[in-house]
Amino acid sequence: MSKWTVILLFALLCGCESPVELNTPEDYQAKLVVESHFSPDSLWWLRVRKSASILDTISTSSELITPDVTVIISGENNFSDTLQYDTRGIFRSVHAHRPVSGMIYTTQVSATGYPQVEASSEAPILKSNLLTVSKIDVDDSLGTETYSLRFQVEDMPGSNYYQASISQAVPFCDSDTAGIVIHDAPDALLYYDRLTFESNSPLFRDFIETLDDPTLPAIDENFWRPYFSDKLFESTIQQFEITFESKLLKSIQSRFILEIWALSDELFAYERSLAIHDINFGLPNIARSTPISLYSNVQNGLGIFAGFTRDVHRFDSQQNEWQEDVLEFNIEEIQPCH
Amino acid sequence: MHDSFRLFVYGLLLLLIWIAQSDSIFAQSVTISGYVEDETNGERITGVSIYAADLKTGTTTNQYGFYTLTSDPAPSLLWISHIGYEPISNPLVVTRDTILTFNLVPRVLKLGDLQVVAERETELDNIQMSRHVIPIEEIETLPVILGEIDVQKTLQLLPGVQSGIEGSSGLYVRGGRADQNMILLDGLHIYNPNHLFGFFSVFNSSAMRQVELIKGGFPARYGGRLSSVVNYSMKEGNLKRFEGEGALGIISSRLVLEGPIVKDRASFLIAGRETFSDELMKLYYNGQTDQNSAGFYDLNLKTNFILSQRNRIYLSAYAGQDKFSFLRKPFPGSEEIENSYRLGWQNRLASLRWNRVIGDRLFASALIGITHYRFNSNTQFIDIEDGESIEFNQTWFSGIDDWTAKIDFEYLPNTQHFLRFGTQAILHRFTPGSTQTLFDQSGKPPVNLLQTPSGAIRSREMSFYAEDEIQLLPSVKISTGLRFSMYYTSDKRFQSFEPRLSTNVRIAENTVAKASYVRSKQYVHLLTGGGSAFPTDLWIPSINGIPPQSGYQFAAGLVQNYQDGHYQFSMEGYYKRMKGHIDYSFGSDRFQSALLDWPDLIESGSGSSRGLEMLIRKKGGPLSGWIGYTWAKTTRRYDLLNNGIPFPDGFDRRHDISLVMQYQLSDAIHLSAVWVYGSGYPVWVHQGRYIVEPRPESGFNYSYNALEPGPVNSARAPIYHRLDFSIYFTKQKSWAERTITIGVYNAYNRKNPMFIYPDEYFTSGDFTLIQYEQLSLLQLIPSISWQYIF
Repeated sequence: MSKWTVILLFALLCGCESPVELNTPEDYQAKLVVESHFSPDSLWWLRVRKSASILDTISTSSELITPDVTVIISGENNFSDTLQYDTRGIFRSVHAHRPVSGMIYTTQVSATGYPQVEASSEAPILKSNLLTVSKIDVDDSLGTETYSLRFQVEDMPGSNYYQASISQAVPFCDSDTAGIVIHDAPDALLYYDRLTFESNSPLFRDFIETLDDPTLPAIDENFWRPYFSDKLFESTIQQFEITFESKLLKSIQSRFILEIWALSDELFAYERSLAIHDINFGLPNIARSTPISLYSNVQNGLGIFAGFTRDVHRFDSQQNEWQEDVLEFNIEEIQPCH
Repeated sequence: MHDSFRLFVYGLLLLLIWIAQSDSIFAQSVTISGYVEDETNGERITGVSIYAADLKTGTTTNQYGFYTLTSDPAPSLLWISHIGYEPISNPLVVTRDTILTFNLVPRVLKLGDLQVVAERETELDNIQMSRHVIPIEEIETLPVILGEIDVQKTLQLLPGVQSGIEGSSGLYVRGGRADQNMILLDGLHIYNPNHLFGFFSVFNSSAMRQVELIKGGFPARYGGRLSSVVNYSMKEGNLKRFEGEGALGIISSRLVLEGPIVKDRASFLIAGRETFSDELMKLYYNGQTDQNSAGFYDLNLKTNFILSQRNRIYLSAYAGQDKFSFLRKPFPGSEEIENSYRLGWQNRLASLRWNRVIGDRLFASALIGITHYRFNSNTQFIDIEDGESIEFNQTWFSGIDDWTAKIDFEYLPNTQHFLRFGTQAILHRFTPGSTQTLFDQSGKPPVNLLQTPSGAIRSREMSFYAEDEIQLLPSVKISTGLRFSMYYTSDKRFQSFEPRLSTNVRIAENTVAKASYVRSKQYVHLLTGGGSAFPTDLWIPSINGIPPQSGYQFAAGLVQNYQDGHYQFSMEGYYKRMKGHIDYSFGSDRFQSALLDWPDLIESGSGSSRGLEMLIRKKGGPLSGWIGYTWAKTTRRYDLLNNGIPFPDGFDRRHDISLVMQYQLSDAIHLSAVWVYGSGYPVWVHQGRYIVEPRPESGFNYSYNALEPGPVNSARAPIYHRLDFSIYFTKQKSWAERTITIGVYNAYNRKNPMFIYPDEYFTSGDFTLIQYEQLSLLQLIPSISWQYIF
């Protein structure tokens, strides 16, 4: 049978997509959409917008900002803070209050014309340590250095989810569609350049939706900012060994940061649902299962109010700790570079 | 082994010995019994009408072609008839119990009046309601998709039966779920009746003799499922001569061979079917690194041995498999890496049945059998680099194995009673989701790990039943039945009494009213993401925390014949309640849950269904067919879904119409057409949309448009309708009869929705707008197939 016959057969079976009018609910009541991924690193903040009907023609996010909103954060030990409106729907603490790890916080958000919404979460306690760092290779021709690093995480009781990443402090990076350009100049601004690393740990998964899925093999050895769970080290101390390749810089000494995040259950569920939502958006739901949706812990509303804790370990090639504010060259701003 | 189960097995053995040794202990008065056979091949025929015209009473042959008719006085004239055969009018002079075997000759063209009248009487007399029996010959001449005859797709054309997703061979009967159908092949359960993800069923029409569908008023002999009994009987094999059948279609080819092992004493039938699709895909992917394939095969085997006029043994077997593979071969000269993903499922059945006639009035049928069903997916990754190899091989599987023993009796003590009784035991072994992982790297010890959320679960199911069909008054029949069932797992025991009641009241010469009540229990569940053959579909038993499904159904109806039975009108209404069916919890990731933690993520719900079904049939003459109409409403309720408010079932269809016509234009040309119409299925759509800005480390460092689901199944898909037709050209060749079939599925190219889903379209703003899309996969599809009978 010729290839054309096969193609013809497939063409006959080939599906056709077409828009369809459905009697979607018309009496939709907009809900408050609350967003706050809080951590002890930053002051309290919370974004409030509203949702729109699926039939609505609103096409810019600025139209979703809602007036007359009150945002209260409360917690243990009679903690309470009424956040003040800043900009673009964001409310911030004017009392320099920060979340504390291990404390459960609740937010109550009210706005004229909407039912009051409420959500609770905590920034989990995180205990991590950088154990050893060693340079294992230098390749002048490629301009790279290879390091081996060991760190450990002391797991708290209950199910916990983590994320890890390693970045290099590099002078100026210009992120554009063509990639990242490094200007190795001592007077340049300093940015963090996230590195991939290798590990043979079966726990790491770069894609959150595959975490703890036994049918999807852990065949990746290179990771970007992988998630991992405590499923195999519940309430114990787990050590990880990774190797990473960094840029060999001439102008400054190599400096790195290892970041470890502990995610609350709510934040993990939310980010996992976000990944699944993204994968399935615009695809037929062949399993006729629940329609795609994002996890929300906001009662009477939508969005997420969830905490995380981040540990940052700064080290140089000699495993010496360094601080951003004592670098010997000009720094105006240090931000992650994507 | 549990004591009571051991007792049951011993009891069963004693009963079998007693049957073997007792011969004419029941022979007493004027009873005519025996078999009805096909004269051309010796096959015993099910459902043949034996009608005593002078006494205006009759009976039908059972599943094994056996009948028994007791009367006082003895009948002097019997009409023996069946669809597809020339009827016989047989004068009798009998004064004592007599065994008579009748031979029927297949009819050439049309039904005779005698046959129509006899069938009319039999159908009016039959106390069983909500039942359809369709001979395979009738199914083989209906339009089919891609030339592939599918018995289950014909059942979908009957009132009260929904197909689910377009093109699938699924059955959703009177608001029931897929797992609530008892699908039997020669008495054994088929757990996954699907090929190619449900586009075709596993039943090779060439190997089947007939199919019976019971939607309500289940007799006590059937139990263990809530919604329907779908009883497939395989052909027995030609006792007279060798014959065969071969067919070539777009999807598959099939071959059937049958013939005598010892003429008139023993016969065999072997039937095979295999797809072309995998070969087509191999051609398509020839020379490419991606080499995917999809296909299935199945094999049916049946032998039967006539030991004596009273004893017959049958051996039935079925094996079928679906296989899909996605392979990535290495590029020439590249690093040696091979990736593959394979998916498939298989059914295996084997049974040994012994039928024995004891005296003239007692018929016994004993069966032992095994059933095996397995679903598996496999990921393999091989990497060879610098002489070192890494092999990763992971298989996920779920399955069920049954060992079945049962015995059924039919006994006619006198003209007023027809007794049936029996018992059944099934040992189940469930393996609902296990993962076997092998990781082998050069220089390191291999890792071989088995992960399972539940391990293998063993359970035992036993049941006893008795039913009596009583002629209460000349115009009133009732059937009472009771079924007692028990179910054991290691930590839990369930038991149930299930009463059954049916009535048949002749309210006019050509009209009967029927009513029934059944209560049923179902101990096995299909935890499913969609009702088709997906890896998320797990068969699981009732265990501690997962109680059995239970339900009851009332049905009442009317059957009326016109023009001496050439036309029949029937109407039935039903009300049904069900509870205990399970589903993945709302919000759980079904795929992940199926693999990891289904026992913790199950939600149990309840539901109800009500409906009105009408069927007008035309029999006899060159034009035959039916018009079916169903009005139905089915709802479900779960505590944690939709705020506990009942919502329409996913396959709730308010109006459903089927129009089926067959026309014999001449000896050589046969036409058939099917038109179906259905109101739209419910769709669970989104009601809101909003923007979020996720944590940068989540990988979504931009404004993300999200959707908010609305009330469950609150919208409706567009209506569904299509027309199919086929033309059959038959020609007698020197060595075989050849039939060429030309058909068209969805002749007017209606774009029916198979899936409906949201998609976004962009505007100048950062908040995208949403529109719903429908995917219409099965549009106009022509087909052609060849069939040879030799």
